[in-house]
Amino acid sequence: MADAQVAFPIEVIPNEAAVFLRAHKTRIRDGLPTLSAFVPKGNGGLSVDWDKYSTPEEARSRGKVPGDNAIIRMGVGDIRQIEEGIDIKHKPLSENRAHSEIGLPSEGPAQAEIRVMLNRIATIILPISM
Amino acid sequence: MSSSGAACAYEYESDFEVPDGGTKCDQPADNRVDDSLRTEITRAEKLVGTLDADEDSLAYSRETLNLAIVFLRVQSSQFRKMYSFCPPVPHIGPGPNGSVDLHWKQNQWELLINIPSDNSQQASFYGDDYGTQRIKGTLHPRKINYGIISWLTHK
Repeated sequence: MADAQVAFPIEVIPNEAAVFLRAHKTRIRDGLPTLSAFVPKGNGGLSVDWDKYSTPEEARSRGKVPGDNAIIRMGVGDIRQIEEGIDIKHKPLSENRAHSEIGLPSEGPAQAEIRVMLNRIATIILPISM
Repeated sequence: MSSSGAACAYEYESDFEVPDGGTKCDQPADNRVDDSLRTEITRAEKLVGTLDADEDSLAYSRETLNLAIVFLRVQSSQFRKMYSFCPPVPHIGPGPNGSVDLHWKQNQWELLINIPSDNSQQASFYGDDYGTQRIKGTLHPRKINYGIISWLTHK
């Protein structure tokens, strides 16, 4: 069976870029993201959208109920400064060229530390729709 | 964001200065009930077994939340015996893979303890004072951890 084809080339994300993270309203408290917003899926990374190919509004529109989601912005250079080894890679999907992933340890204290640090550099730029 | 403040009333004075986020309690040590902790637990219970509306994943199970509550009560009880006031109350929320996050974010320090859904695993923690002091490691969620208790007195 042939490998699945990616419709878009994989690019290097520069430090000057930013990424958008969608955070469901259950992961927002008092108008700010909780650490639950920085949870990777399974053993994978944290899915985000690169601002080169997505606006905050487009990132939000990818949620099942867009208005139930806030959009968090993080600077790529800030993410890379958290710790040596943490990185963010472009992983385009056929339906989303902006899709990228922040690599996190799969578990343990190292993951806890990085989640705390991500929360510190995060800014909500689109709050939950009222 | 700040963690919930405790709601215990003051009964007596102590020479020990109440730390960031903590408050003195007014009930006997054996039956003190921290209203803020109870409120936070009630809030967390609403997420038991619920689907994350955006990701189709379960937040956490009753069993995992119970383990997190046991952990909090064990540390809180010992804390109050040692210092005669209530420790600060964390936010309780869903963590990765069905785990439970206990998150204290205070003006002077921050601490995350992650209680795993697999109760054979150790809990993970990370904390710092936004400066040079850090704690990081694993712990047994059913045992008193004096390092964590000490951290909760941080000023």
